[in-house]
Amino acid sequence: MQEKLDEIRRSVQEQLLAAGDSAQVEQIRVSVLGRKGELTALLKGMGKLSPEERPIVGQQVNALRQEIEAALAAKEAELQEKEKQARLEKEALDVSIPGKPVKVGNVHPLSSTLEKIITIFTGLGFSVVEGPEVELDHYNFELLNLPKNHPARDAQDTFYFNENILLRTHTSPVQARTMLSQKPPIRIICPGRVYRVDELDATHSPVFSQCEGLVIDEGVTMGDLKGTLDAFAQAMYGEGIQTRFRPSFFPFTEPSAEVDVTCAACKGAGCRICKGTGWIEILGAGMVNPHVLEMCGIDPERYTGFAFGIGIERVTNLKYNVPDMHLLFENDLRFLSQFGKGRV
Amino acid sequence: MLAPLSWLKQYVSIDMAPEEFARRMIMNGNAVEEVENLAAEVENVVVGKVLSVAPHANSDHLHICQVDVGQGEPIQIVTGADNMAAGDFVPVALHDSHLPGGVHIKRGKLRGEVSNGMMCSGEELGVPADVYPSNVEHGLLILREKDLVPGQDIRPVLGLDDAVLNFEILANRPDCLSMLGLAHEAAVVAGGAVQEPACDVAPAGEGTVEDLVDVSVEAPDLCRRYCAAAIRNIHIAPSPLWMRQALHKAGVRPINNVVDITNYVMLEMGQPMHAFDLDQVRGRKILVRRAKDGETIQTLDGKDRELTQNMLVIADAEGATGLAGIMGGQESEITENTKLVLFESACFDSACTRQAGRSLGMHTEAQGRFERGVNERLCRKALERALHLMQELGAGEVVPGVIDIYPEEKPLPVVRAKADYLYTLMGVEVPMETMQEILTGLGIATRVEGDELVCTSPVWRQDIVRGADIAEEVLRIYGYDHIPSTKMRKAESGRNSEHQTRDAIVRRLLCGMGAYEAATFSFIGPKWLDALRLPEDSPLRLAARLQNPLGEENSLMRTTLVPSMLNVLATNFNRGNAGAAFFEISKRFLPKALPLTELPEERPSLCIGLYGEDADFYALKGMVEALFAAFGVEDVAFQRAGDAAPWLHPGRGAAAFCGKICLGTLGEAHPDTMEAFDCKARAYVAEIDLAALESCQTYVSGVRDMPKFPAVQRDFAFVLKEETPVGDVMRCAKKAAGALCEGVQLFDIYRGQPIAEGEKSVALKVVLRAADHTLEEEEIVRVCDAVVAAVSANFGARLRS
Repeated sequence: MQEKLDEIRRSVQEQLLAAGDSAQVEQIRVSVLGRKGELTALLKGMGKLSPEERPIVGQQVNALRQEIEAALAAKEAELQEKEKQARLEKEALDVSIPGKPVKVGNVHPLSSTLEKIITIFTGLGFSVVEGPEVELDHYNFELLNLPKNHPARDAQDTFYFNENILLRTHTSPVQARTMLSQKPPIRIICPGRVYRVDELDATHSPVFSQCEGLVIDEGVTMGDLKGTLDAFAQAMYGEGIQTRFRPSFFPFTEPSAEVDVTCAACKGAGCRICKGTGWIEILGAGMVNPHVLEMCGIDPERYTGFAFGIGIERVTNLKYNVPDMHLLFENDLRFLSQFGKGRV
Repeated sequence: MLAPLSWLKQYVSIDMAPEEFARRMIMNGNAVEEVENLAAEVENVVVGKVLSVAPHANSDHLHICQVDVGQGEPIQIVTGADNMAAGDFVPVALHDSHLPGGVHIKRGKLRGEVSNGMMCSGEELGVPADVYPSNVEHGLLILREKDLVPGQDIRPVLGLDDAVLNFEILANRPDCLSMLGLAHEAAVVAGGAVQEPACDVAPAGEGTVEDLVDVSVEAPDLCRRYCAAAIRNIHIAPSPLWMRQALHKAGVRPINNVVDITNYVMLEMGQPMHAFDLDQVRGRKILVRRAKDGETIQTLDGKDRELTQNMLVIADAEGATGLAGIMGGQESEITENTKLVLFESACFDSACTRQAGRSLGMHTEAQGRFERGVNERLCRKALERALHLMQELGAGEVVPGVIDIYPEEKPLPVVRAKADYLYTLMGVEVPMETMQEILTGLGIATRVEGDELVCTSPVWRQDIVRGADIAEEVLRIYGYDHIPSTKMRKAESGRNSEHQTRDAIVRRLLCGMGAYEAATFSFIGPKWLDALRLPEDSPLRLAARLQNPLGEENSLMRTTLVPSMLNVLATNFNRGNAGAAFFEISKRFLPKALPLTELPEERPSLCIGLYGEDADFYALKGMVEALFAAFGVEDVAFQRAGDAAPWLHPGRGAAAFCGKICLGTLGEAHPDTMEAFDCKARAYVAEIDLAALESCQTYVSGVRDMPKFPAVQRDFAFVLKEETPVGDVMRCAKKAAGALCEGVQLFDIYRGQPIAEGEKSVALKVVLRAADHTLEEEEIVRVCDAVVAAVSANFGARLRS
């Protein structure tokens, strides 16, 4: 009996060694442990044994059965692992092949500039206020110290619908509307489209956008204006950027200034972009003319304020070195898509 | 304002390079657009004396000259000119010399003969014939000056040792539209006093100007001052070289002595002058009055003009002859035969001049100056200066007396400004003495009274009227660089606007869907509205029209963004760009009525456009649906757009509704529309009303529990008539499935065998789930039966077997 068992063990070991896949292992299992298997046959033949022998042989057969089952399972696991490895190997990809294209567009550079300006100024405590693009002469000019037939109106050649209705030439009418409707302290920026009678060329456009700012409070000084614009310039163009004020004139402000920032391209050393001066003019600003405060119902003895106006196209063109205004409004994909290739 | 440095130097000593002078003027608030350094353009050009002229052996038009250029030995120069003779003085550009326009002259050979430079014409040196009358059109500039020395630098001889500064004069400084005004600014920069020009006159002869002419001002509100003086025994001649050169450099063409003097004084003192031939003034009478409605005159430019009563005219005994401050009349123009001249030096109202000029479409130098404000206090002085120059030039004999009608002479404005107020505005505390010093240097007489400055405007300034003006004057001279950079008190929290926030969200959504943001003008033309195939009575044709548009194609405020977007698509397609999606967020301008009497409604709008391989109706619709979903707008019904969007393909256009609110339209553009945009691509365009979208938006208010029980899916294939809208079937199925329905999805539409012609098989997946239990088969069957029954009943559908 013992011999028979040893024979089966040896035979299974041999067959398992030779087995190459799960099917062959299964075949072995059936041939030994199956209903008609060798070991099963041995168990069936136990009845012929003496009662003394039976438990001993039974034990031996069961032990062998467990041993074979374990060997089959081990072989099965080994084969599965092998098959898995083979599959993984087969599934290897060429990772250098490009991925499935995902179409992503991008915002227009004028929008990203404006969004950035808004973020900077809301961080400085300014709130965004908007107003109509088709405006009344009253708000666009008269309340801003530009009465009818004032020669300074020539500087802002205006599109008219009729004597009183026009396309705003700046976003200042929003400031006037705010001063009339809100008591100081006022700290706002007014972004939006504005219009002037200029043919579209490399540096002009009849349609462009501005972001103007207005602060009215007790004791606001020109130093505060400079501090605010310094903070803006550094946030917009980077640390180390400075502002320079030059005297100028705007009917809305007095004293008035043209404001330059350090040329970001050459860091002030002088280059082609800044025409060798190291400075780039980016905006106009000044202390709100007391007459304007008066007209808008704010006591100029008690309150002072400042205002500034930033040209979005100018800031954009300088920041991205856009050589021609046409590009901003032509919407050629080859231009627009450049603003999606990197952070703006 | 072109200001030759040499002219400014007549009044103030400027001892620095033109570029440095310009830089300092800029930092004081006098913007300089350009410095033209005349001296730098001409180099190594000298006075030469022609010694001999001989014909060139190998040419029938060249001449060989021996020229003394002060080098001991004469030099040989070959020239094509023939207006020189031995003994003439001419400008000679020597070997290695430079002429205006970047011309470089070198030694060379002309038909075998050496030429050591070039003898120059006036044109080559930038000296026109008006300035230099001996200058002929084709030929050398023959110099007529006395005491010329061969070899001397040509620049001083021709007034080219100079620089011209082009000042950009600010609107509040009309005084700087004159050499004297600029000289006052230059004096601050250069540190010296201003030397006023000579105005002394020695009248001669019998009688006075009042005997020669009767002047009256009927409209003193529009003519605050009128000065006049007469000059007799006029001798019309060219003015002297110095005056012609000065005028030329300042951009004015020299004419004759009388006209040149009026222009010279205008440039010098800022006062426009007019000269009448007094013999031609009918009735020897000058009347300044409002025009009559419908009155006509012929102006100096020969044009007949019809006037209104808002205009001011100069009339004689017979009628209006000139437009005050704009243009004189033809009758009394100065001619070669003029013998008796009347100079007018007046102050006409700025607004009146401006309006008259605008409505007549005229723009003259004098008009521009009156519009910006002429200083009435200087009228008489300017007149006296002109008389002085008439004497100096020997152009005539000044008649005794001056007419000066000046009914309301006001004292010079005095401004009182408290130091603290000035400090607040300026942001910097400038010591009182320094402020006083600066103001005095500007000619603003200033005294200190306690903590207050008391300032009197100079006679030549008109813009010193309040404290802020004083702050500006002090600060610009003290230096804007001294303004400290300070932080504001009371930092509040700033807030973005709802509109900007919404637009930023829409932008990011559309970009994520692969679209590029475009920016187009707010203008469109009527042709673009025609291209949209809009009927005559379409509300979109109710567009506000500009009075002064940049061309017809930019004459209307757009009532829809669609044409601008189609133009963007056409541009990209025609430039060969592979297909793409674009979007724009901007405003539509919707007038309540035309012509405009009140501001139009400005409605925020989103336009999406696509073309190319990936573009089709459903790609566009998918974008629009994703946008609606992001704004929480559910249950949107898409109907055929029909008349609402005639620019769309009749079978491929839809309007989207949330309840009764129209959110917008979308679809494939009509082929006729695309043809009008000269675009051969199929294009898809949607316009979404962002205000309507916002009115329907919902917010994420909280999260729901995740489903605890499994969902069941049941698929249905309905055979439907071809024309049955699948969306309606889906909505019907969803409704019939009731509360257990989690969603209805379309997963296939099949046409062809065995489905009959004119029918389609539509496969829907219905997802069912209960929140509180696993669905029983019985429930599922009940729902499925209800779906089949409803779809069959409503659409005549049958289940595909």
